[in-house]
Amino acid sequence: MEESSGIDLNFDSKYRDLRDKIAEKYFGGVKGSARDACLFALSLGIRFNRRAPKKSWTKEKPLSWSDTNRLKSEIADFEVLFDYMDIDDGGMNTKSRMDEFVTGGLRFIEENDLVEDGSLVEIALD
Amino acid sequence: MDSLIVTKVKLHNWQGYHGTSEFNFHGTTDKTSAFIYADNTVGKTAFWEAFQFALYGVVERRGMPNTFRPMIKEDSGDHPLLNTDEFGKVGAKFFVEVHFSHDGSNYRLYRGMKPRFENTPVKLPNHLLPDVNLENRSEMGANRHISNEDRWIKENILPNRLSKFFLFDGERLEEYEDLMTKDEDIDLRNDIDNIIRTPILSEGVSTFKKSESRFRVKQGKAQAAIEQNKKRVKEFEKLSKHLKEAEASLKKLRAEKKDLQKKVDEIEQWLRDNDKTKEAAIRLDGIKSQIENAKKAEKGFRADIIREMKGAWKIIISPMVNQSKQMLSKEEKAQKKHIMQMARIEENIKHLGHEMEGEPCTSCKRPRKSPTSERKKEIETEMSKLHSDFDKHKENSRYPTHEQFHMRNMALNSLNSNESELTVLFEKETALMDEKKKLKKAEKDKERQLEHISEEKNQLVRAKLTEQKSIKVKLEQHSIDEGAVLMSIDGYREELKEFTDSSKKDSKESAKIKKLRKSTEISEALKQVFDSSLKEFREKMREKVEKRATNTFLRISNNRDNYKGLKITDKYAVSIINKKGKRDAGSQAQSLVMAYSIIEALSSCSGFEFPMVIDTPGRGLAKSNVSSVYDFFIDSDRQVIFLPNDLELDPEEGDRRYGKKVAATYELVKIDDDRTEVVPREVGNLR
Repeated sequence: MEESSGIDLNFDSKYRDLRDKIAEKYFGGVKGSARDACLFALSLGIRFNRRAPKKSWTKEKPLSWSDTNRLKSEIADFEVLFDYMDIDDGGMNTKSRMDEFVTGGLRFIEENDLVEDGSLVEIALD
Repeated sequence: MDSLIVTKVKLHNWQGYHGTSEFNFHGTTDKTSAFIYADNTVGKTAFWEAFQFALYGVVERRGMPNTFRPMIKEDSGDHPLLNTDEFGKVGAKFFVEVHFSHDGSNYRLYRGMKPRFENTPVKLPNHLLPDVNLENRSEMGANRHISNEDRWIKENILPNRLSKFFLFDGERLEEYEDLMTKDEDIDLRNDIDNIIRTPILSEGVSTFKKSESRFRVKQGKAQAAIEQNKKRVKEFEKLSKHLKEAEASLKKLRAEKKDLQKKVDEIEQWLRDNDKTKEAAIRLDGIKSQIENAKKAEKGFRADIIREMKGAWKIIISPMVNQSKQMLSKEEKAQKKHIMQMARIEENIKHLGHEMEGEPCTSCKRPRKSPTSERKKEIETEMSKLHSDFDKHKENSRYPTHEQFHMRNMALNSLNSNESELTVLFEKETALMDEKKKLKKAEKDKERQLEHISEEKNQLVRAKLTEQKSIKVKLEQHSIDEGAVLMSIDGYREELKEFTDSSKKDSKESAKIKKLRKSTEISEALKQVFDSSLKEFREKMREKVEKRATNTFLRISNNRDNYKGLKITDKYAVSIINKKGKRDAGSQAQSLVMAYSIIEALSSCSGFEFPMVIDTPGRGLAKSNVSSVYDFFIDSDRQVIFLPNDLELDPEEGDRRYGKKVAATYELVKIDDDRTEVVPREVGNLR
């Protein structure tokens, strides 16, 4: 298993506030809550296949929320999952896929207004 | 009418006369007059006053009209009628007895005071009782006693109003003179009226005058009643106006009261709705508790959500993970199949190699012969095919090692979740939302309750309470005013009712006035008739008095040669007229003679025949005039009792000059203990 010093996992910096709000609202704003918020956004991106292509991001420097090694060692390894998923992206690496899925998930949250006035029930998993 | 002649006077314990003293005046024919000589303070006036008492029951104090001498006193200085020696004695009494002849009959007038109690010392006025008796001694039986003495005396002997012309006090001559010489002497006119013994005229005038006056008064009263009623009508209208105003005021008051009550009710309702400070405080406690609980619950749910959210991402991707795991499982099975096939192929290749070499069978160990070439060719073909199949299997085997599968499986397991739904999370979130709503509601309630107990609210409540109190005070005042107005209305109505009743009396009053007016007119007419007759009669009497007085004056006056006589003017002033027919001022002495003359004329013309009793007859007169007076009266046919002091007539001279002409002369002297004693002097003419 790889140790840290992996590659940074990023998301579009325009969702910084949203990420912080999610971290506060659903994860208590404690240490690690920002990462959990991004993980939550990643899961939504994967589930609803929401990817925000990097080219659609703002020009500002993306924000890092973890790195590949840390995530793999502390949380999970998404690479195998991506292997089995029917992803047609021309063989994009796992890191890039994760960046696009996290940003896509944040956009989904924004679009469905899950933070300000909405609730998690809005997440229709069926 | 025959002359009234006093024949005897008896005094008992009368003033200075202690015991019984007697004066006899019953002389021989034509001799009825008398002289009673005495120094001053010896008893002349007491004798003179005895007539007043006998006739009228009282003795007027000298110079003090309508003030009377006391009946009883211990001190003689008080001039009591009862002799002071009798003061304090049991059975003390006094009397005056006058015997007189009149109209052919003999009378006895007895008047005195007798003791009220038999055994009580007489010291006080109420210890004495009046004792009066008038009898006609010429009559017998029931006719002897004359009842109603005072009236009889007034009508038949001498009325009190004329007594001053008969019971004459020389001490008062100047007063008479003064009265008569005034320019307009109403008193003299009245005196003349008094001596005119025509009661039908004088009293008639008086009666009708009184009647007229009475009718006028009644008429005036009735008129006044009507005038009063006119005022009352005005008052009625005023009252009606007041009543209307009061009723309007009452209506207004009641309307205002209703409005005020409405305002009070509104404020009451407002206070019920708004003055909830206490309730709000209690509710607030509950709400705070609710808020606390809601916050705790919210905190709990939020913690639950955070906890649930930790694994939520796994649940979200669980379908993908499960699918991946299934694919991995398939791959593993396929891999296992390839490996088995490959192992079988390798075994077969091994068997075929042994056969190629002619080695014994590895399974059954049976020796074999070297394969034929044909067989060898077959074995080679078969082995080539097996190698090809082996390669195929190897090629299709993705993860040829078990470790690789394990690693992949581990990777997927790290993404795996036992839960497939976010139900718990949703439930927690729903619960959280509910708690939030509760909290929000509780917070709103709290704010609302805090409003009730806010200072602003309290100020508003206090302002409303003050306003309510002020309105209630007004309301109370209105109630008081209403009561007062109601009372006023009742009063006005009551008064108006009285007005209605009294208005009925008006018609009666009008009829009464008509009647009274008629009566007044009749009375006035009768009074005028009587007054006119009286005036005519008075004029005749004035002339008669003037003539008689002139005659007397010219007889008495020592200056008669210079005078023509006396004149009583239209205005009843008396003047001395000289020979030239002019008014003469005359001397004071002549004026006093004039007064004597008038008095004598008045008494003579009065028609009464009572004797003249003249006390101190020479007072203020010149001696020659006094002698003329004595001469005149003694020579007249009237009974005269003179009471001269020693300066006015010396007893010796008196007896010498008149002793034979009169019925008797007496002298009063003082004896022991200041008592008056009667000393008869010339009594030869007495019967």
